[in-house]
Amino acid sequence: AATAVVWQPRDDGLAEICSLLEQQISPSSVVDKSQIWKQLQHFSQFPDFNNYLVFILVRAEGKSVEVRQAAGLLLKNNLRGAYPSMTQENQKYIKSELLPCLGAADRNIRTTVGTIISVIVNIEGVSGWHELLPALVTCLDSNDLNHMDGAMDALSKICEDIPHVLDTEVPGLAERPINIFLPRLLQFFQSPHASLRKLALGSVNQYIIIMPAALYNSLDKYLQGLFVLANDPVPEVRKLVCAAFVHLTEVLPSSIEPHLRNVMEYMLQVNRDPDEEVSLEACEFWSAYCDAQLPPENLKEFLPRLIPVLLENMAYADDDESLLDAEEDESQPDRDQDLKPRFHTSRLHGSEDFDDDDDDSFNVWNLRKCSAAAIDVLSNVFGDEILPALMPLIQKNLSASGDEAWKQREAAVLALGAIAEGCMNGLYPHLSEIVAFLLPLLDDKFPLIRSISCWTLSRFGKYLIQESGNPKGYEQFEKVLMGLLRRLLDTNKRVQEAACSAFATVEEDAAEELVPHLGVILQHLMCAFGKYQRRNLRIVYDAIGTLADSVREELNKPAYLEILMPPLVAKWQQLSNSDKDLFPLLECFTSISQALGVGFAPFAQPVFQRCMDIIQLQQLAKVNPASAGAQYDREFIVCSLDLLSGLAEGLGSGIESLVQQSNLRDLLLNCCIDEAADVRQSAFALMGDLARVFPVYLQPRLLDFLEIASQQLSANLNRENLSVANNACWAIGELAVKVRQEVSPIVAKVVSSLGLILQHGEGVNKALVENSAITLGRLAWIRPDLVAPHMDHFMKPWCMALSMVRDDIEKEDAFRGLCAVVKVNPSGGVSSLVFICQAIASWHEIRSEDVQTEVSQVLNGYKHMLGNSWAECLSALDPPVKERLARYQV
Amino acid sequence: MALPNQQTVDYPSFKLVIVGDGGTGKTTFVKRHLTGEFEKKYEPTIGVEVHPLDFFTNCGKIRFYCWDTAGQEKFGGLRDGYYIHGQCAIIMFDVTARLTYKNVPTWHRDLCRVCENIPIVLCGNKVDVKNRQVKAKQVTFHRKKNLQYYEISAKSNYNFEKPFLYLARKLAGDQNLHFVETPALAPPEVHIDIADQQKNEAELLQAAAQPLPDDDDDIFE
Repeated sequence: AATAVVWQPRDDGLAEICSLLEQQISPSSVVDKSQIWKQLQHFSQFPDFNNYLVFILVRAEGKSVEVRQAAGLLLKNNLRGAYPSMTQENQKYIKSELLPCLGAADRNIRTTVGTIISVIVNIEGVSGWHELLPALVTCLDSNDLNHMDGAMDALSKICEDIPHVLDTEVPGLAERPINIFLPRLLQFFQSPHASLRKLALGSVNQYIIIMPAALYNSLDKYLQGLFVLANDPVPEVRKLVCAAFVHLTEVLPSSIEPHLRNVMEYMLQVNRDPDEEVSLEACEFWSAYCDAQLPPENLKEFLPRLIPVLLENMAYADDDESLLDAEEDESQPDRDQDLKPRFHTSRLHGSEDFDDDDDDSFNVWNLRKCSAAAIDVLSNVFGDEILPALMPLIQKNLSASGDEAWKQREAAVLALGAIAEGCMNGLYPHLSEIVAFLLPLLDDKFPLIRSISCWTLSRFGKYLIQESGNPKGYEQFEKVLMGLLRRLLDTNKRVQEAACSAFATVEEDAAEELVPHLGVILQHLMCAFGKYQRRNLRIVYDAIGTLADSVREELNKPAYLEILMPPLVAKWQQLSNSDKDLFPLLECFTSISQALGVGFAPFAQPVFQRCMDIIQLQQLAKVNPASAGAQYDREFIVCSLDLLSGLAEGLGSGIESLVQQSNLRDLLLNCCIDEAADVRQSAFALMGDLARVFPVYLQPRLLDFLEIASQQLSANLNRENLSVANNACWAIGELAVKVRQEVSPIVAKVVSSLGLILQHGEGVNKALVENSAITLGRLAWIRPDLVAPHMDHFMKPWCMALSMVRDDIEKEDAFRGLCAVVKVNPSGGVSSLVFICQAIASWHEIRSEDVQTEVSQVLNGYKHMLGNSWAECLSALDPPVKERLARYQV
Repeated sequence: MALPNQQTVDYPSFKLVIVGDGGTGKTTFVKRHLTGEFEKKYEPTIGVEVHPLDFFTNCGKIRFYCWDTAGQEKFGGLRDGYYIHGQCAIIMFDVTARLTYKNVPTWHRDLCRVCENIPIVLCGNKVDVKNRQVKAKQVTFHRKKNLQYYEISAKSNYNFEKPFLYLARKLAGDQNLHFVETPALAPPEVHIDIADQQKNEAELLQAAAQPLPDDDDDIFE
């Protein structure tokens, strides 16, 4: 064979590229690196530029390792895009240069070679590179550390990036590459070199999820290997062993089932490994076990030994960020960087079926959190069965005295909170004892004990008041309430925060039970309002809003309003119309006005006017920020629209005098055509609320409102538009029942849109489907003649949707429509009769007599119409459905 | 940029590598620290820019040489070549663009292949935007890899110091280390030229905004 001419670099080119690379990676921040990069790019246009790079990596012995490594990484990046279009000659050259370098003396060079090899294999598989696998095998079998390490590094990267490649038939190879490598990898588990053990273990772990036949057949060997490494002196190796067991449990629980006892014994042991990364990995096992549906009884016998470990690990670690955070005094003002951006959620009519919870507190992941999560999972799986192992420890830790034991006490309180739900049956008889134990901790010297006690007590609050008739329970509830209120005024910011959040939980659970204490609650809340820094102030606003939502009109007492309103009004006056701190205040007023109802009337005029001013200011700012003197921020409009809705809901027809003289109608119409979805969403909510309480006001622009609202239903219904469509749909229905025949021009269009939503929307958005079913019914009630001809498009999904709506006035309206269209077009309903029957049977009780009569007529109508087939239709129904239908005399 | 001409300072300094997809806000983030200047326009970073940021701790002054690397592939320069000798890192994604979170494992892998065992912080930026695509509870990558995670807003400065403080504590091996004064930060909510940004980012965001197959929130597309 002719000897190919071997490629050689030119010395000047080599020197220049090296020099540019050096400047690229030099630590200097003075050099303009983008300029140098441009020069380097100039070279990259030469077809053999990559040959230079590989040459520098492999052969530029006189250059620094950094430059050689940088050349290698740049080569790798270039190959990712350019490899297929390179000449075969250059491809060959690069590959042939890399292989001898697998065992390079410098580790950074070796690992860079490994990275490049994995990229090439990613592009052309192993079949394009016949020399690679033999070279790897030779290195692995060489017994030379550098060669073994380099080959293992390359192999492990292939296993991580493209594991399937090794589990594929390769032309010219008798077996799949994995069959060649797996025995060697397993052998390296026992290497005296930690780096090789780590790489081998990591490589095999990559295959758990794929589980190729080669590994499945060697599972015993693999597991044996893992057990041998279980007590490896190197923490990273132990961590990989844990990861393997956790992963096997998740992916193939049957594989570890025969060895369960040993695995659990081991996990228990490493759960208290001195290295936190190892113990954290081990801690994941228990949740994985419970999720994997492995037999719980096997785990049960470990509980007495496992629970103490988990509890111990729940104590704050020395490096937990909360420890330093807890030292912050209330006098320290919050900085911008301490304030998480908050958002107003636009009003939505109907049941919410998605939560926008963006609480990032559970993003903190450490041994404490993971252990608490494990206790929580165990309490859900085993319930009270964990108590015998847990309670004596909690008791012991709670009574541990001395400052140095505060972390144990804190962890015990956390554990009680974590099991509050899962173990309630077992805890219930001891509730008063537990609460009695916790109450004094609210006044503990350590702020983190005070804050965790707030949380845990809030989790028990609802059970205390459930114990109705038991004076002790109620008495304790009052103590908890007072304790939390006291902590609301703590001098520590973290405690304030915890107390305020805990109090909000109690507000939701206790609702009317709070009424006797409203005075003292308000005093504390408003005192906190006066002294909190910005961050916690937001939580007070929420707590006030939640309180209003919980006790509703009970709040409407002069004595309470005297405490509540003056500070809020003072704040309200102090803030300018473009101050973002207005948002929580506007939300707070929304809740208060809804709660007070007509009781809000004395405050309504200035609030109404302010909302109008804000909306107008923002509409101006949108087109001309300079003359408005404010930056446009549509959140102001959304909050103001929602507060106006709150006023309409609260004041009812009392809103008339406010609205009459205003230009709200035109403002609102403008908002209904805004390009921002959340503005439209709130605008249609307000349109619906105005339609309910003061429809005459909308009359002059009635067709505009209806037309714009109906357009929302045919838009592309992505996530944002869904909520707009939902409110628009509801608003159309509310307006329709008020203006009756005047809705006619849009009926056909809306019905066709609603039909589509009902056909496709099932299970996607509950609120929209329900509102569509109701609005369709209302339109059908008003104009059955226009709706009936299209029945077959939507009868089945419509009836199914109506079955899901709970008994209320809206549902009655919808059934008036259902009956009306069936009467107009009875044969159009025959094919959906089963669904009509099911929808009717979804009523617990129809209160309105007229609807009852209509329904009965429809059923009997079909009975007569169908004759013998009526029985056939009935037989398709479930017995409870049949039973319900019997009420209508069929 | 007017910078002191000296390269080394007489107090501890560390090389900090900042990586993540283009448009996630890496440059805006480092430029909030007023040692540099505030960038109003979005210009994709070419290759890398090095910003020296000083912080004052209870143990004295420290400096992070922040290697703000290009996120966009076509402007990537040496990419992982810049990671060499990195002592700590920040991986940034954008909570309003799911794809940028999906790419975090790749950034992490490339980083770890050049810098073994360095402290790394994962940052979810743009939490000031209302309809985020990556919810807090969907962020789990840091759990598997033992990274610290912070939600940040380069726009409002929310949690600006947190990533630096975490890294400083790890590098100093002192969990009680704290910053004794807040560095001068650009005021929050500074108006960024939206049109400019949109124009420059259009290409990138088009890809990122595409609903991914597992996005089941949209109907009738």
